[in-house]
Amino acid sequence: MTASSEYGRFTGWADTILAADDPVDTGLVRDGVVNSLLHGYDQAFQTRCNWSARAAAQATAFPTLSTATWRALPHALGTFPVTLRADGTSPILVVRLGLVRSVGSGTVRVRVAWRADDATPFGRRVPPAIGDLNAAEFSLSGTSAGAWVGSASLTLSSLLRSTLPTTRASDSAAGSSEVVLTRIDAFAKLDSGASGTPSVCAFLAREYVG
Amino acid sequence: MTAEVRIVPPLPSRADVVVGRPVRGPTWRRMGELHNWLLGRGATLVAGYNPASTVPASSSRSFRFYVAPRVQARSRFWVLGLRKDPGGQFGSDGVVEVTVEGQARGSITVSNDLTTNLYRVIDPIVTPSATPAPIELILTNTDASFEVTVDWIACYEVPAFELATNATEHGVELGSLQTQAPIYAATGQGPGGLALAAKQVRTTARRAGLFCWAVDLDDTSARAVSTSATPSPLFLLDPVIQARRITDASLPTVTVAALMQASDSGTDARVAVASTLAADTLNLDRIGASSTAWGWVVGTIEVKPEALDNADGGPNGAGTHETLSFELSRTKGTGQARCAAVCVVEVP
Repeated sequence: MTASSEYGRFTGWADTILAADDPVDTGLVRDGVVNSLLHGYDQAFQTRCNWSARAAAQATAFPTLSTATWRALPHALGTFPVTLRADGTSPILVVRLGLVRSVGSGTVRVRVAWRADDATPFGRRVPPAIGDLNAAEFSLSGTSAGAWVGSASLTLSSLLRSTLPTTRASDSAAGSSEVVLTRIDAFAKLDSGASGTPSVCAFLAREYVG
Repeated sequence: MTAEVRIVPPLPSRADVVVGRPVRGPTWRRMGELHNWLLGRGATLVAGYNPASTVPASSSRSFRFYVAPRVQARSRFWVLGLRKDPGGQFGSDGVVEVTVEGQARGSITVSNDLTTNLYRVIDPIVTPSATPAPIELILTNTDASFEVTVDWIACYEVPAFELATNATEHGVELGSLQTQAPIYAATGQGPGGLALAAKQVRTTARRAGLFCWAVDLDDTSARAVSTSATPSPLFLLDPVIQARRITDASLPTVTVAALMQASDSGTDARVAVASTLAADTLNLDRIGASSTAWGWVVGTIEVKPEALDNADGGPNGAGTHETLSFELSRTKGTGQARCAAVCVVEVP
């Protein structure tokens, strides 16, 4: 991508560049205020999930797998809010997956899929197709004591808004804020001739302005 | 008109600010809207993780985190993945009571459907602050027969819908940024007020929580223990730390906090931290007589920041990640070196 800001970093400016009744030095405004606001936008995107198990025993195992059907991980990899981009679309969500597989052979495939939290759930055995922009597939061959198996960039087109309660600072009046809540699910399946069930031992989901 | 915070940020165009021409009113307005969005939209406090912990029947578990909040946030929400074990189709639902910083935050009815469900808990912030500090989440299982498994914990700030236009929250009154409005400088008002307040973006619009792992202090099966001078990894895989790019001249630092204890006053504990790409190191030591009490040890370490010219922001190209390694060791004595939480945050 190309940085939104002119310099790709924060810049400084004197407090007095816009004193009352003074003319505006547009060069200083552009190099200072506008540049830093735009760089702040590029860097406002958050790390939403960042899990690394202490040991293989504390990783989350998939149910017993077969070559016939996909099986879902027993727990979702989080519900989390999404920072929207200036055009109203989702940021890129960079996901990275770590797997451990103490016994087994052949290749196991793991698909992670991102969806709006209030959207129709994926079927427990029907993950999105690999061609969808909100899904990515990783694979692990043989056994592993724990390894990152890859990273991928996802986008999400279905951005359902909901509200969460909060209060206003100035008078503590009750109100609500609009948010977009999403979640990640993971599914696994064995290739023909493969055996052995893996566990998810690490997972990263970080937003990127894209 | 107020210091409103929108869900979608408007971007002022650089091309609208040209030397020799006046800055148009709509451009000032967009700058103000973006400024309020940057300060008000809220941050991650605890990035989602699996503590692999259980709450025994009629018992509590305490999770302590070191967080770097934004003063603009008035509420946060927790995401808790809970499963009643073994519920079975003939059992009743469980009940888990949630307490944060000593404040009761309601009860969760934990389904007996044998699966982990994600529950959201709204948590009004008692004293808004930007000071990095520990917070404590307590989960109490009221069921006398069955334990509850905790498969997921995360915490995010609820975005503000309006900021105060004062020197604490630094909101900017959007009505003061109109076409033909005069140039003047007042706190939170006018182009002058915006220019002053916008300096806060660098420190406030942070990626507050980058990584957290915490388990109960007394959960002997979950906390980390070392009885060796040889450092052993705290985690199976090194966590990724994606920090903001601040300047071109220097690497940004992140703050690392570890909750540590030694089993006796003659034993010292150490968590050694190292960044892969920035090649910096940090030792967090819990030493001396006071080491027998659980305490936070805090330090900073340099990391390589996000690169905006790469497709996914990877610091060394697409697909690359900065990681931190954590190793626990006993540096003195014959007892146990213990660790129950590690948090990585970006502080103001």
